[in-house]
Amino acid sequence: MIGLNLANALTLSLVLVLIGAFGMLRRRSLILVLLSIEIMLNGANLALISFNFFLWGTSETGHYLYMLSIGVAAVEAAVGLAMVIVIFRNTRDVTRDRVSLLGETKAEAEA
Amino acid sequence: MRDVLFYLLCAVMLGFAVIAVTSRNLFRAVLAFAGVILGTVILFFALGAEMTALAQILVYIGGVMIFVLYAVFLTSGEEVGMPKPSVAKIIFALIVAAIPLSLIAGLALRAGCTFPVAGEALQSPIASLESIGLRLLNPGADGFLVPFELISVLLLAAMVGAIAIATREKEAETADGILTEKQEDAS
Repeated sequence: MIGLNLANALTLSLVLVLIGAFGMLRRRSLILVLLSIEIMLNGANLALISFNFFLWGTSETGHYLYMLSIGVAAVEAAVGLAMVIVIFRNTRDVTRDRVSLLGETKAEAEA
Repeated sequence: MRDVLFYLLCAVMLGFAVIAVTSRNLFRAVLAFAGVILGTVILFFALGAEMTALAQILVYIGGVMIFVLYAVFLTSGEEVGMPKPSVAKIIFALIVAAIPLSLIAGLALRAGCTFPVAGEALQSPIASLESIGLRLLNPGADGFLVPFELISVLLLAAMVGAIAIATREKEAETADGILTEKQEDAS
C-alpha cells in the first residue's frame, strides 16, 4: 500500500473534502466559504478520476462524471460570486455573521 | 522515486489546502487554492487523464480562480476588522469535519479494504481526447449527448442568472431614469 494506488488517492481526496468542510464552517468571508466548497468539489473530482483509472478501466465513465461535476462547480462559482458582489454592494460587507438578510438593506427597505 | 514524488505532492497539496482555508489574507488564500488545483492537475496526468487535466486548468485556473480574484478585489482585500475565530468555533468545525471521516473510515474498514494494491491495479490506457469527444457527442446508448447538452443549458442559465443578479440595481436605476424622463415629458 505504498505510492499512487486507489486507497491512497481516495484518502487524499477524502482529506481534501474534509479540509474544505472545515473551511466552509470556519470561514467568515462569504468568498472564502465558496472557495472552500470548490476545494471539496475538487476532492470529489479526484476520487472520480482515480476510480476511473483503477477500477473502471476503459469505460471512461469517471471523465464524464467529472465533466458534470466541473460544470456544476463553474455554475456555483458564477452565481455564488454574483450574489456575493450584490450583497457587498448592498451592505458593504461580505462577512457571514454580519450579513443576515438577502436583497435590500434595512435602510433601503425603510426608505 | 515515483512513490516519494506522490507523497511529496500529497503533502504540498494538503499544505496549500490548509493555507487556503486558514489564511486571513484573501489574496493568499486564492493563490493557495490555485496550488491545490495545480497539484490535482499533476495527479490527473499521473492517472492518465490528459483531457480532464486540461479541462481542470481551463475551468479552475482560468475561470473560477480569476472570478474569485475579481470578487476579492471588488470587495475588501482582507478579512478586515474581523475578530479571530474563537477556539470553541474552531473545535466545533473540526468535530463536524471529523464526523464524516470516522463514518467513511468505518465503512472502509468494514468493507475489508478490497482496493487493488499497486501491483495488481488495473492500469487503464490513457483516455484519449478523440474517444471522449466522440462519446460526448454520441446520441446512441453508450453516448453522453444528453448530459453534455444539459451542462450547456445549465451554463447558459447560470450566465444569464449571474448577469441578472449582478445588474439588478442598475436596472432599477434605469427604470427610475425612464420614469423621471416620462414625468418630465408629461409636465
